[in-house]
Amino acid sequence: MLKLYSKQIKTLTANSISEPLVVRLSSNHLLPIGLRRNDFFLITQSNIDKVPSGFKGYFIPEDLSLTLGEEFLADNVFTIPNDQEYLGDGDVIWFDPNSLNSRTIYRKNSKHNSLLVTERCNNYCLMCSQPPREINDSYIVEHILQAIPLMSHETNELGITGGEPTLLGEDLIKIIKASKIYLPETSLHMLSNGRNFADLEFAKKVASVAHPDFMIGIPLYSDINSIHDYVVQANGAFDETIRGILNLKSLNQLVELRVVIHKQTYARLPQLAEFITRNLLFIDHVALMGLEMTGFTRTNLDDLWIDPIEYQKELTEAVKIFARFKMNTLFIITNCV
Amino acid sequence: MTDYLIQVDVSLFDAEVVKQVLYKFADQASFNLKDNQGILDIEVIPKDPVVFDFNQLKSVILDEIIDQDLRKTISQETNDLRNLIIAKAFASADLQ
Amino acid sequence: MTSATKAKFKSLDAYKNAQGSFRFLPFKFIKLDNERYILTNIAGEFIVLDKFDFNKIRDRSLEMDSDLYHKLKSKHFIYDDSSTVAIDLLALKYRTKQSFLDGFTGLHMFVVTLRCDHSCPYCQVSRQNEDTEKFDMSEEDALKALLFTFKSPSPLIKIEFQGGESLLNFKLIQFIVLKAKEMNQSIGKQIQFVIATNLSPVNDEILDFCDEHEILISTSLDGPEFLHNKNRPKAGNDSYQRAIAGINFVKSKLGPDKVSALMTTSLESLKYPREIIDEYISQGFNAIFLRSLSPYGFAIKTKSFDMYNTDAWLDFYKTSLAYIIEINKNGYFFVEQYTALILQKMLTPFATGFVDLQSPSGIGISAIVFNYDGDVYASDESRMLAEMEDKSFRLGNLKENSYQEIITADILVDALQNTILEGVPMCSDCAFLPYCGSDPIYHAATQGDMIGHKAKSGFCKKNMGVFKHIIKLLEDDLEAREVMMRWIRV
Repeated sequence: MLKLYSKQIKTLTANSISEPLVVRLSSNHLLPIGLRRNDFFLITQSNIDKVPSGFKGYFIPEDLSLTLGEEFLADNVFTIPNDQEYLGDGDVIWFDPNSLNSRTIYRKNSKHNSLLVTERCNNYCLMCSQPPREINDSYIVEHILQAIPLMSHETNELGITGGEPTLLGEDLIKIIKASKIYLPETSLHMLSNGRNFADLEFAKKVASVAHPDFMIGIPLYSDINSIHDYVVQANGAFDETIRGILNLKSLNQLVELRVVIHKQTYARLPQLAEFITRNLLFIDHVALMGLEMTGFTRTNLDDLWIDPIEYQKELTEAVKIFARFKMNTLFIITNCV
Repeated sequence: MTDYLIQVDVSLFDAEVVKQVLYKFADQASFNLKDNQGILDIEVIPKDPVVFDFNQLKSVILDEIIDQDLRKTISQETNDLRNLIIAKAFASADLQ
Repeated sequence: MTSATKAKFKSLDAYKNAQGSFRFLPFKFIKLDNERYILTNIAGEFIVLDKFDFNKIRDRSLEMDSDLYHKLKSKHFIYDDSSTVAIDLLALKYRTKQSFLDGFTGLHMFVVTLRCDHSCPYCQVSRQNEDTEKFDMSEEDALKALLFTFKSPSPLIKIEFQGGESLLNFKLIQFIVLKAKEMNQSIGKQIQFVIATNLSPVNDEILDFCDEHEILISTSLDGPEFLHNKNRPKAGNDSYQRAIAGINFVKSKLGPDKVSALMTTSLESLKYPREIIDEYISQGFNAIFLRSLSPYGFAIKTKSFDMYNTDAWLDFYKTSLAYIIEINKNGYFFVEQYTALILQKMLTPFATGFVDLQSPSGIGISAIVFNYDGDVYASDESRMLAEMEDKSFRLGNLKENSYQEIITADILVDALQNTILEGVPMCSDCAFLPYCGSDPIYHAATQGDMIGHKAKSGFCKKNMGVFKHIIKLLEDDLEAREVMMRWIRV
């Protein structure tokens, strides 16, 4: 797994950057001069002999820095540790030249760029892969709004994730708008528990951005409210999530339903499929997912674990029901253990 | 007095409920109702005496009265909710 | 660390309904057989419970969070304080089921002539003298009917040409199609044309025109040759040969999907369920509509006759359906369309726009008929009834009455008001209400009033029988269920 942050960056030459910044990396030594002053140049094995001048700063892998000639005298050169060598042309990072910390926000060559917009959440799911933290992380939005204009137009898909993104309120709308304006060709996919869309006014605000290709993925774990509420550890979550979905669909917003299959949810999968096809047939996509062995799943393993082989019957029946109603269904098993 | 009599205790079952049930059997018999001090006397007059089976009809009618009574209870308990659902239905937008 | 984190999670019990009591959502029930009940909710979802489980509802001894409790909750028969979203979902589902009302008068039937070359006993309307043009619709009335048609708020207009034998007045069909297209240029509705014909007058010129204007053909096929010719007598006794030749001719010129066949069920037909189905399959059709015996034309005015024949029809239906399911099991996809319609009502959230099973009645809402003489009727059956000297469903005449006058004719308004099943005795607490309709013309024809006494109604008996039979198959016969599920159009 890639390490998406680093505290091991070191200054190599004089540092004239005083404030933390969101910056794009470039390894193209022929980049027009006019574009260089905002970007960092990424020195690699193949361009080390033609490092251009005029960039805001320079990154060089630690082991490569030993071979850097003495004649190279630019300011703002930093070494990055080996675990950050995956960084490449077009990537966008947040970097604090004072504390020498960095966080990777966007990788141009990745097909799965996801923006974690907050770590806060109003659910506390038994199998959460990204356990929420009750912290003030509102600075993240600022970084993301600066990063989006730096991302490549060719980005196929961009994810918004959390925590619960809708807790950002107006700031979330800013992020969706920025994606629409700066990345008009990019599909936007957001993971949300949908509860805040029970507020029709908020749902309207999101839908009225009218992003041309924006899907919201919302989890529904049971046709029975108490089971869903237990899985997400929040009373009343089922009702809010359903009302949220209804509001979004009344505004023609694309919605995907996401069902994670585990010990608490497998038994009623066919009933859930019937419930969805009868009540929520207007949903655009259904994703059935296996358990990921991360985060809280390990904590609650006894309550969650069931061998996928043991729920074949229920899964097959559910898939059959979705297929009968021509619902777009996908089964994703992530990491089998 | 007729050969065919069904008696219903109106302290247990509403006369209205009984009438609704009898209506459903109008193809098989006519019914003559008399109030007999808290007991409803139902005189049964078969439409076609040749194929008429009184005991069978009586048993079906008595079962049906119990069901019809439950229908009345459900209908009374859910009437407001029903109106609410229908009002909501026509106030809401179409989802597709 | 793990156990400390674990302590932050609450158990399933913490999320269950704390109050410990449930409430009913609106539902109706009826006995399926001696052991079981059918329950239907306001949106037409159903469940079947045995007496034992049903009595738990009756005496409210239902255990919280038992499987039965979850079943009733999930299908929206009960709710409790822990969740009220069922009400929002029911409202939405109810609305979807009622959405057939939105379209308003999609089907417009033009009786272009009463002349016919057949003399079918169940047809009350046709005239055998093929040369008497006084039974043809005039261009003037046709234009008025078109103006009327385009006033319908429905975005999809279906124009069906009827007879007599409609093709005996093909000139007027051409006139109407061309005029409709011309008028529609500025209106922009979607128009679909259908010619109902026995196919005996069909020729190249007619089919070229159909091809050019994407006109569909609907024809009659009552079964194998002996039955078809018996049902549909014609000089020369060649109705069957002409129908089959016509079907093949249309298929070769327009494509197999451009022709459909409709079967009229006579008393004679009831003896030959398998033969009729075999005939449909051998002509390459993938569907049949098992229609009920028509009370028009036959002397079915006495109710005992009606009820007796309903039993015979139900036997015919069950035998046919079993045979069709067997054929499907053996790998040939073949749909019984009446069953398919009802399955759609039972098992999907969608509305179905089938006139006979609508509440309020579909007459005038889903269909309207312009007769050859300019009279306007609420349905094809009301025109039949009129030919039996009962003109009560005549809404007016194109020459004399305006659109407003016709569409708000007293009889139509009465029919709409009186046929909302929620207000009809016996229907109002029938579990099949979400699936059923109220055929006011049938009841007028058989009992003399639009509503009728349902205990004496062949319509009620027939549909009760069909609903129960379908639900039993769904519940008791897994293979039949699999077959029938494939018939649902999504």
